[in-house]
Amino acid sequence: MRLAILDKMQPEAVQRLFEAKRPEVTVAGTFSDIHALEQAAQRLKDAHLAEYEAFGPVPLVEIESGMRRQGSFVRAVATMGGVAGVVGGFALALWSSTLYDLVVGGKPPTALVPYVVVGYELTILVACISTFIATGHGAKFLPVPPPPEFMARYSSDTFGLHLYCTKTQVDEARRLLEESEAEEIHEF
Amino acid sequence: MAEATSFAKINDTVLSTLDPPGKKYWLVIGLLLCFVAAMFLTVGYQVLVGIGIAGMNHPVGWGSYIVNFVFWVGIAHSGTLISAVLYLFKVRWRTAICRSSEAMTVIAVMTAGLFPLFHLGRIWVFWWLMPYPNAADLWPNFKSPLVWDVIAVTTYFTVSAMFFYLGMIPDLAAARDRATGWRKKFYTIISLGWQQRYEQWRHYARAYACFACLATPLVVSVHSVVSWDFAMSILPGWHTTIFAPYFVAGAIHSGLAMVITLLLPMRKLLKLESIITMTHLERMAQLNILMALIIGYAYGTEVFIAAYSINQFEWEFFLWRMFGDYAVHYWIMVACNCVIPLLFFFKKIRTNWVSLLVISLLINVGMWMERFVIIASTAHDFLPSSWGLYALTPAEWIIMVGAFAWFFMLFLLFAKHLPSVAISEIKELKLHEAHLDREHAG
Amino acid sequence: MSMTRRSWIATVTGGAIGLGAAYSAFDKLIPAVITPEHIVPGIATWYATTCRQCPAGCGMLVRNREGRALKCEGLPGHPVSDGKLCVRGQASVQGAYHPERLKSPVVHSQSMGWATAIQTAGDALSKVKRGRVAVITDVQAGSMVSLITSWLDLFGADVDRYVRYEPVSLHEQVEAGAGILDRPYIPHYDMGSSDFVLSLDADFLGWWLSPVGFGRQFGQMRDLDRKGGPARLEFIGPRMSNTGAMADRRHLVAPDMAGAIGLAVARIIAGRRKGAGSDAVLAATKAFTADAVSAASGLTPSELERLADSLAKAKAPLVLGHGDLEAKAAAMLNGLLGTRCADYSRAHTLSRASTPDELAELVDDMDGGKIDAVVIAGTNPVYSASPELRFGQALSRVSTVINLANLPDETAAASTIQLPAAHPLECWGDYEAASGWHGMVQPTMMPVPDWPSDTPEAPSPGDVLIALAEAAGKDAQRAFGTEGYYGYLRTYWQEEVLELSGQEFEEAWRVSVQKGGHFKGRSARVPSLRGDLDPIPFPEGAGGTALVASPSLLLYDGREAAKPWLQELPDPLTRTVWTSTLEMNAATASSKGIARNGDVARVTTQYGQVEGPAYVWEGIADGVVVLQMGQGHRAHGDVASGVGMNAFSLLPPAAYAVAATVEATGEHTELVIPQGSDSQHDRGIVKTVARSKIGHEEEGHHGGHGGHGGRSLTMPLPEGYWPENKHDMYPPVEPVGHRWAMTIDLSKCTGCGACAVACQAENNVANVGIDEVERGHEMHWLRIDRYFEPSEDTPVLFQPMLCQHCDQAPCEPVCPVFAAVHNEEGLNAQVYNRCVGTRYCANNCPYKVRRFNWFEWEFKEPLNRQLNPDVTVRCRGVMEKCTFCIQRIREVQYRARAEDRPVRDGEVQPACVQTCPTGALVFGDLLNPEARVTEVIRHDPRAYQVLHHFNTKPGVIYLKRVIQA
Repeated sequence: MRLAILDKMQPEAVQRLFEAKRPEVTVAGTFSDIHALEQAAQRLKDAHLAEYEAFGPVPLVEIESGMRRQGSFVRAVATMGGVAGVVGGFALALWSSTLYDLVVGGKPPTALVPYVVVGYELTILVACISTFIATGHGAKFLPVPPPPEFMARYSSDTFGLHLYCTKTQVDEARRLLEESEAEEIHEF
Repeated sequence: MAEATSFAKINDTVLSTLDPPGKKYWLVIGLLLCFVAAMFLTVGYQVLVGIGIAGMNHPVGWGSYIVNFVFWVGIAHSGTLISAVLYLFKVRWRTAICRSSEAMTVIAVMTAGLFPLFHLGRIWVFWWLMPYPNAADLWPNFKSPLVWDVIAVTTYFTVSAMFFYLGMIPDLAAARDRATGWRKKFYTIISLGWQQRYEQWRHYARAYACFACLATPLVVSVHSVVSWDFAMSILPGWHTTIFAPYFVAGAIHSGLAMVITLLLPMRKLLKLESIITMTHLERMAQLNILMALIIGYAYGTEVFIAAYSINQFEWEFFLWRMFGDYAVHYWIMVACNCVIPLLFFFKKIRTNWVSLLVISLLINVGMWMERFVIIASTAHDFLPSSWGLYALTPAEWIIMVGAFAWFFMLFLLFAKHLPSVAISEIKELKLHEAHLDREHAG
Repeated sequence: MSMTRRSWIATVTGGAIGLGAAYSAFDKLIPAVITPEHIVPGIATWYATTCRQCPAGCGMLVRNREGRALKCEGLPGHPVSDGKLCVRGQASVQGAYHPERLKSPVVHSQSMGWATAIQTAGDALSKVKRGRVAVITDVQAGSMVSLITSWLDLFGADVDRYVRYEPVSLHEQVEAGAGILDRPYIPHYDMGSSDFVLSLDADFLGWWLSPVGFGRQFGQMRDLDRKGGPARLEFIGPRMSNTGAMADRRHLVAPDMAGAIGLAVARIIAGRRKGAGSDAVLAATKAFTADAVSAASGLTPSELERLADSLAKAKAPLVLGHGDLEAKAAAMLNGLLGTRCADYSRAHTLSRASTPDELAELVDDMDGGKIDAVVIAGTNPVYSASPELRFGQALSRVSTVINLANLPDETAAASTIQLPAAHPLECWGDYEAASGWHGMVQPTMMPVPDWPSDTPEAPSPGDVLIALAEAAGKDAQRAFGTEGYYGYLRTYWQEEVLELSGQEFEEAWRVSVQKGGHFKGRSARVPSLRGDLDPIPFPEGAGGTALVASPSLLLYDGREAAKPWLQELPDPLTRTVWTSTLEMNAATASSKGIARNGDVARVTTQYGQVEGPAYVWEGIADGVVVLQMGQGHRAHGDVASGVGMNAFSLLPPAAYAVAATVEATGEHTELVIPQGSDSQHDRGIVKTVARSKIGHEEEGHHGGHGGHGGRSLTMPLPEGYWPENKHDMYPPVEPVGHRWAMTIDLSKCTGCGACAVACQAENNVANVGIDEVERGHEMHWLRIDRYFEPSEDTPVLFQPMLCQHCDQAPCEPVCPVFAAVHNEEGLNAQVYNRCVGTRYCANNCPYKVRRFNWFEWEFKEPLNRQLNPDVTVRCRGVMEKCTFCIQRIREVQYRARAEDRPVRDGEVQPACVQTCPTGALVFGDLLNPEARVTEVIRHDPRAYQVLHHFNTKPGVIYLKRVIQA
């Protein structure tokens, strides 16, 4: 049901997941070297000119300094998840054992030592689930095809830098990309 | 540039393994499916008439089902070890093999998870073991090592499955971008709209590191908790504090051996020799040497402590374990786990695929025996009047063989339908190496 | 329309007799405890009756719920058993509910209705010539003897045409009594007051004469608090029976040698005394000089002297002997010593059994064609008569053989007409256990259903005989009255037992039915020797190997073989199930080429041959092979047929030992023995203590906390906890109201197994069959471990092992779903419908007393009608275990609450405690300072807990077995 709705989703809608508003023009430059990409991104950041996004087949954290958004909330969420897990684990074990006050093997109903294992495992479980959900939220996990300006080569050997701009900014965008030695430049 | 062409080549090498498989492949899958069907039919029969068709008895309440459970959980360990622990230690050779060992982990846990169910007297109420809010407000007993086990193994499965999947998403996108037809749709759905974009990568990279950090203590804890199923009891041969580290080491030992067993044919059949090289296998064989030494030390310590304790029950028990009804099993265990792996000290042996395969198989035989020796030895506990023996029945053999078939079937399905090498990580490694080369050159 | 007794008798007797017999099983039943108007569904009613599983005649209470007999227990106040019962009594319900019970008459292999069958049989009887009829039954005492005598009279037959046949008749006791004491009967023995008992092969704790009564007396004998201390018991015989195992000293000797020793001892004692008796003894025992007996038996002369000293010094000695020479020796010693423990004012009813000669005469007549019709009831001579008699062949010469057995057996198979009479639990009757002790037998249950529609509810043997006489055209009405057997019984009691009339009789009858009988007091009569005794010849040594046939504790003479409970209960000594073995010691075995248990041996005597597995243990004298009776049936239903060997097929008439050749066949079969190891491997599980050292022992380094003088005991109470010293990790949990506990006195436990079967009957514990026992799937909640020890004093140790109800139970915390929990009264409870079957609890139980349902065990129809409705029947996949009979605890608690009073000590009795003949098991509340368990646990220095060092604080406390060297 839900998937069917997603199937009908237009690529533009997918694009909007990442961008605040639909850009009038997307100027895409490709690179075969990550260092060229890094330099280009740095240049864009310094120019304060456009909204842009980088693409590439390896984790692009190396070019981070050239990007406007850096770091990730994932780690904070993981920490919070871990705290919730340890508290929740102990709480669950302690609370549920007071419901019937069952004595087993001479141990009082609420015995802390054995509950350490529950707390420990739930710390990891909840932290991991939180991490996954946070990642899914940040990276916008949706089972839909990528938008048309996404080039299949990005999965293989090509790096890309997309500039989102108004029609008036296109020329400047092209210039910036050319200066950064982009191998190909496309407009969408 | 050089790296670009090599990147494309990596894609080609890895993703061509996803090309539609031939008839032989489906024939093998079909054959394995027959064994799996036999397993489930046998389990069905057991559910209908009772668990008495297995060889367990008074006093041996746990039998091959728990042996296989522990065995498969153990197998599951090296995957996370390779992908998480070695990641944190920045061990580079892990990259080529981490995907397949993670897959092995997930599949092994899926295999292991079957056995506690098969083992239950009343499988139809297995969910009473789960902590869920129920009408009677009676929750599981969180003091029971079995509940810890349920929680730990569930956590382990969930975490390693998420880790496996998360790490695979960029590669699934790569597969999507190459595939056609229904495969394209399939990869589109499971790649979750991955676009290789920075906005995704920046969360992904942190998440990957988080997972590695969280999975590392999990590797240690899960098999520790499994070992506490035994160590928390009061039985001779079970009740011992050494069990946790000893089980973890054993798990890694068997897991590494299973990875070697699986990779040797896989790299050949999928033509991945250029990526998964003999060096990778050699590294694992070297780790096996370490594990064999740790386990040998643990075996020795167990016996030493039994003797040193002056505990009559414990010492007589160990004498029986070493020289009694299961002496053959015990010495097979010692030979396969501690002695034979030491042959890996010789470079010729650890770089020859035949000896690698034989020794890795023997390690797995030895590790199965270890679990058998531990579990069947409830046959000799405190009151001599209740002593007995345990042996597998045909039903248990069918179920055990079926579980192996299930494991290999799932692994084969994985190998031909999911990227069996972490493409983006290999590329990242290449970049890294190129960078280092440049620095050296400069 | 269903048939009632009245309409049945009306039909089969042409209406004349039945008119008066206005009664059905229920409107005349008078419950023992509460009156009929109080019978409420869901509330059990108890009926007093007499156990008819062996000739002992113990009183029995039968628990009835909604018309079904569920459980047999001892009848309190009964002079023989006083509230106790043995394995066989416990299992009698399985006879009534046996799946293979005959449901309708069979005439010439053809099933038919009762009316036709009775008419056919009557026709056949009417054609019989005068006097050519005979009746064979088991030993009877009371109205049946009189009825059968009159019945034979109707056919013109002599009284000696009535043979009361017992395969183990103990006629030699009667002969010895006649020849030596001038009293031709078996007296009533009372060893409870004796201080020295010498058993010459008399296994009175196993099967001999009256094991429940003797067990009870043995418990009194072994009471530590008794004036003068516990009595001594010595045993001499070819097999270490349960009695030998419990004796303070035992000698294993060849057959007859026990008697020879007894006579030699008598000679020594007589030699020291003056008097006519001594002279007679010296004259009679000329052949039994100490030297001759010592040479023949292997006992040193000084040992004989010691025995003589002990007997002579004892204040109340008692000698019991089984076998010809042994009985003579026992009678002689008892007479010589003038013991007050043998009361000759009462004759044990077994004295009334016909002699083997009487049976032989009848067989001769049958064989000679002098008998045309024979009625057989309650006995199986085709199986149990010696091959020499050729009973089966003689029977085939009799044209009309009417059998009243309700289970198929060898004799029934050889009969022409089978009229399956009711089980003793279903019908009226009486049985005089010993002179003056008239036991009542009354219907305790609705007859087992599924009878064909024209069947009466309970055709008792008496009814069938009366109907037969009527159908044969005899004047039954004049002979037996108009009210059938019930009327006849009442008349008999009125005239012969109660000797009252009118309202007084009615009242006395009602009381007799309520109390299970009418027991007359008598003043005791001590034995004295005859003036002249015939010289007793020295027994000829058989030379070579002797086969000794011993009645079985579980199956007696084979009449119990069809009961699954008894087949599956391990033999107390060999621990084998569903089999019989050729027992011999290692020396004998190796001389025959037998290496280990299960090697098949062939035993040949001049009467027959058997082949079967050997059981090698040191409880058998050199050169002796023992085969227990009871197995080797050919046609006794699925349970018994084809199991084991028939000892009777090797024996001459009226003897228990015979020369035999034994050889190994070279084959091997695995014996099924549920017990793991025979040795306790020095683990101190069954502890013993010399009597002189009680209370002064050195304990091991596990000396326990609990303030009991360094005993291996930690109270399962808050006081047993010691968190401040890290002895316990957690503080104690206070019990609420009660803390149930049990003590087991290992000095009194004789290993008889009554507790185990009582538990099975009470708690719906399943039988699994030999194949599943072999696979370790047996279900007994209570088992009796038997260890062999390399010890002179205690070569065999018994230990009942049941859930120890530990205060810190290892089984509980490991259960993932709280199926194993501790209840507030200290019980280790198991919630069956919560169990998912991980079996962790069983693994973690150091006592291995938890039992798992590996399959859905079958309670074959109608055995399922015996199931206790107060106890769940567990489904497959669920762990089960002893609960201290929590249903009984709750019942007593509810009753106490309803009566607004506390629960009294001894009021709660789990099934095992209730039945234990020796009183080895005591149950009670540790929070009650006056309770017997509290008393014993706090003050008996012998108290210890098994595997005490685990600090599980068990609620079952054992008392060390006392060694009286």
